[in-house]
Amino acid sequence: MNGFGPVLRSLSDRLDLPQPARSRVLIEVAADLADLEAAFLERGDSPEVARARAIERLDLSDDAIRELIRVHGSPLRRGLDRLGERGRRRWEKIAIAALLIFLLLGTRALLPSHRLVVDAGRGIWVVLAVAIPGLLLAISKAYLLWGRDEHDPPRLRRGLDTILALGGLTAATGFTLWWLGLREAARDSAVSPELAIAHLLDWLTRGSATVVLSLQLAILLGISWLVLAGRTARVERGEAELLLLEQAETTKGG
Amino acid sequence: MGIFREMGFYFWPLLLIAIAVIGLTLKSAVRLQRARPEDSAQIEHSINAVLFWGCVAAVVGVLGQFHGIYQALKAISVAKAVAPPIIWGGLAVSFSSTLVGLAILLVAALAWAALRGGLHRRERRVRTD
Repeated sequence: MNGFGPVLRSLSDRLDLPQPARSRVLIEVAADLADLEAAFLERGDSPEVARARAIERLDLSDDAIRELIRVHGSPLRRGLDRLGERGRRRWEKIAIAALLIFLLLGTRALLPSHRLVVDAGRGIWVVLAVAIPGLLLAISKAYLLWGRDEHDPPRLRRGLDTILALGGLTAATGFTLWWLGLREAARDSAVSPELAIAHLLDWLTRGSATVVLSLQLAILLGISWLVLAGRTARVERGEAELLLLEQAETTKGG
Repeated sequence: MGIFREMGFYFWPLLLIAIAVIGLTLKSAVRLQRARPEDSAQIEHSINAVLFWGCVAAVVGVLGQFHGIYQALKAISVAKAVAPPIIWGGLAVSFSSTLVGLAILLVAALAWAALRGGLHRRERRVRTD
């Protein structure tokens, strides 16, 4: 029990933010209050005085709350939160899973294909250099959420959006390599016009293999982010509800 | 119907996404008319789903195009000689899935903008009442 329930309830009522941003702010403020209380306790204050001084020290004025809303309600943050909510409904989970199965079946000949990687040429290493950190990050977050049943929202949230950013970057890298390949093919064709068709076909083969691989990895990272963000938002909501529930119990007990 | 045949396997996920976009648009429009003011968050969730699935259609369409090009070129590389018209014709066909994916995104984006406009007007009306 953190003992800051009344302050958090009052903050929750004043926060004009949608979920999960509201839960995130409450958890952050609760953590800041707990840190301040610990600091005052260390200095020798009694628990009651330390708690009161922590509340007093943490600025929860209207201006400070407006700033919190501005930071957590930025268009980018709201957009990401809305996107992260996509996998919440059962039909959406089924639709995303169906799409993934469809794509896996459709590209099954390509997925484990050594040929595809060879055809993509050197460019594939650049795509993998971008995608692999994202995949490792997704695996580590999945381990925290399901393997260790972690309930520390800031730790779960840290770096989560990087997975989506790396997914976008992976796709962008694939397309950049596609255009670079065209430039190379055009230069080679200028030197030897009689081989123009051969250069064009070579570029199309390498470029399309690179784009297919980069899109497959980007879709994988995007879906991983969607699943992880949905689960993290659920943990955040649960933790925030717990903090507010403690307030209700404190009030009842008092 | 030629464009749909040309898409091959990718016709099916794109068809399902198109049906989902139409269904979600109709569902959101009906909810917008009938829902109570406190249901705004749910309606917004449903409206945003229209745009999300439109974007998914575009990604699937682009993946379909590059997958098609790659497979066609692998087949061409096995053949001894291929006439340029066949290559250019094949390249033109490969754009089908991208075009259909982008068309679904365009329809979804227009529906999303119209529904969001409706939602904002409704919220303003509720506030002024």
